[in-house]
Amino acid sequence: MKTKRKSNKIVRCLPFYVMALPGIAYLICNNFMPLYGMLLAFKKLDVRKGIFGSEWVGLKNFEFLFSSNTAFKIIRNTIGYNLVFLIVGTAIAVALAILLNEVRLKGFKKFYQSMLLIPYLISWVLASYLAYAFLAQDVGLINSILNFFGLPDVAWYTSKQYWPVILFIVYIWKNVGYMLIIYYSSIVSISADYFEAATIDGATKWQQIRFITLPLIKSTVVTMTILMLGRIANSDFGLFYQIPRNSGALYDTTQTIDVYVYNALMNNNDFGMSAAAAVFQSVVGFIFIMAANGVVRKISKRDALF
Amino acid sequence: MKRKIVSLMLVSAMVFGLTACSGGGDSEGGNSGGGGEGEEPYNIVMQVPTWGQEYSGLADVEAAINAIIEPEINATVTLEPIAAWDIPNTSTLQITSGEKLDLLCIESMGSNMDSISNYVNVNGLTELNDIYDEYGKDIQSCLGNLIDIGYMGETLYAVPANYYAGGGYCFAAITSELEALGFSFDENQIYTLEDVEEVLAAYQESKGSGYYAIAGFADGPLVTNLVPTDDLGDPAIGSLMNGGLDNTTVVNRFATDEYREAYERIRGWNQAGYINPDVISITDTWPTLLASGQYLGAFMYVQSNGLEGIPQNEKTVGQDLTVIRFFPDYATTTKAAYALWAIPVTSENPEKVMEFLNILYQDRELSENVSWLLSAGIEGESYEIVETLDDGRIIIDYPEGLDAATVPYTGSGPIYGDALSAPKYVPVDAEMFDEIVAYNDTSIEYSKAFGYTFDSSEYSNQISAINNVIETYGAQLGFGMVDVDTVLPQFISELEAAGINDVIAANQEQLDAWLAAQE
Repeated sequence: MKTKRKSNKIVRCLPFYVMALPGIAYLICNNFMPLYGMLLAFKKLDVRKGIFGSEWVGLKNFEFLFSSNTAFKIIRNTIGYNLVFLIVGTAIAVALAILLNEVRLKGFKKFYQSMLLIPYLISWVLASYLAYAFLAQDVGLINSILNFFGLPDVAWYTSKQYWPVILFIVYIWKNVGYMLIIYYSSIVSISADYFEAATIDGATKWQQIRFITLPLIKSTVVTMTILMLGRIANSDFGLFYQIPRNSGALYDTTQTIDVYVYNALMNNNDFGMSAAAAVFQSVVGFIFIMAANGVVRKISKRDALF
Repeated sequence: MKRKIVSLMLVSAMVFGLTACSGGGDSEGGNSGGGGEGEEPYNIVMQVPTWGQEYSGLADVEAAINAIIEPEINATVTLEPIAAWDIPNTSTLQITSGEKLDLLCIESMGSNMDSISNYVNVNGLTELNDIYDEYGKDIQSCLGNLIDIGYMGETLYAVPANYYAGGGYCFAAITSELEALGFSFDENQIYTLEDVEEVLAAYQESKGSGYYAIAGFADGPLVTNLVPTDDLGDPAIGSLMNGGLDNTTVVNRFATDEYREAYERIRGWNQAGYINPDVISITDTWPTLLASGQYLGAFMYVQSNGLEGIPQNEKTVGQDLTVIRFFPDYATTTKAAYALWAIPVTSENPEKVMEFLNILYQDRELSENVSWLLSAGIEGESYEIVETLDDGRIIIDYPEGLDAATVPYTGSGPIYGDALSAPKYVPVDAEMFDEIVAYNDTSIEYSKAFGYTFDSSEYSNQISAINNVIETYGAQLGFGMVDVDTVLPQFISELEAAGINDVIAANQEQLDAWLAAQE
């Protein structure tokens, strides 16, 4: 009886599996087949013997991430920035999505949305020059304004204390347009009936947002958050490398794992070490994703990813 | 291991073939290599470094080379253009994946941009000792002791192009500005930094704010151009002070008195307004900066003290430059390594490749000179001859209406074979050309550690950490952005925490062994 139902289910789902086939093939080719490269993280590459034949070195390739006293700093920066981006970034994106939804004139709505999205489409290199136009010490916009009010210049590219704020602003400016698309689309899909009913009952705008919009997009927010947690040990290389123009004086507050690894490997071209760094980031991401999903499942099972 | 055995067998077969050949008194013009009639010519895939441009005339150059070498050594070349900055990563991937590659260009550019150790660390290079002795006769006579920089320990891994073994430090200033200030300098004399300082002060005083006496750009903190050291190959941790001319003690250069003094001097310059406050984030090169008219000159290291480089840069600046030298020209392993040619382990016929490499170092007529074809392209298409010297060397210019960017082909630098005698572009004249060719023998002092390269493979963890510390502090101190008394001790203590003293001790040990073996 049971097996029959099961086979029925497979037959019923067969068209969906067929539809998923190209995606699965892509995943296998692109995401699973190269996984054997993780072996490199535990080996000393010898091109004469190939990846499989190279000598095992245990965890030696990981040492460079942890042996120095920069290790704590770069891990703190990576995870710290990501948490802030995750929490505050999501809040701003949701707020903007709600505001955008309230814009009544169609033309304006399109205009605002495009304006918010444009930075996302700009390359980081270009963005770094835009930031430079603001922050250059000699001719930069901000220093010109400071001078206008009789304040002294600030050497932005050598003053690390300002950079957490600068990086946050640049991150939001660049990414919020993209993040809000997802939230905006799930707000749009909320049936207008709810709002009409609420208006008739005399609910204020704020009450509508609080008791209708937010609860209905909750699962989208949770899903997006869990997905972002998976990349908590990865950082946006463009943001942390290009925007501070790789200025050494700022490393205390701008250097993340990716930037450190990039700088280290530009010097010694070591494949084992870069593989080790990537494995470390994946493992941390995996742990975070499992933990976050576990917590969500405990609180509200239907919002969990799996 | 299997590959090693196979190559050993190939070598022995080749040797047998040779003896059989000479025994038979064959008349085939002494062309070695066992490539008898009817045998397929061996195809040599050779990297041709570029600065990102594409050559429309590359196929013609390739055909011209093949027409010369196929009858001679029964081999053909395939020229594979590759951007110089892509070489380190792309080549390692090519070797790992077994893609065909026979001649690899390690383009260090005198500054560790790439290095032999990058490839030796993954065991990617063929050991050349035997085939160099066997097939590299002309290379040996051309290079002399310059070949030492291709060694790591006892093993020869790469053959350098014959180019300047070193150079000197100078301040290159715009001549008309110097004249306006009432200064004149003799380019052959050695001045002191105090002499230079006077010019900087005078310039700043006459021009005022918005102008800067010193053009600097982010890739090179000023301090490296003020204190001559021998950094003992890649990764430049542990140095001999004074260019290694008079001592063999490996030290942490950042902790020396010379560096401290230089840091303080630069700090003074910075506070006096000689240095653009945005220097750390400026990415333009110095000729571009000088062309803007806001600067007097730049401190720099130049190969051969600018015999070739300065005239080329004068074109970019648009004005004549005066070179003010403040240290005699000297040679170190790092500075001599401009471009080296290596044979990856994946090459199927290293002997043939070495034979080809040998041809690049031979003295040849224009009509059959392979290295000139690679350096300047085909006569009449990529260049016109301006003057032919007695011994056949040529001075050339771009054809009417063309320049370096628009000719069908031009080599991306002095990297092929005997690059010192390769064609030179005007404004080089006959006298300068002779000076260039004789430079390595006459105008230069050699570091006591010339030819030694530190093998750092056991210390890669410490080196990553040390380099990170250098990146953090190097530019701030090196451009005088911060107070020396507070930041320098912090810098040194972080370097020590990252393990610099262990690396230096290992470096000293290897150097002592190397010096003992030299005697």
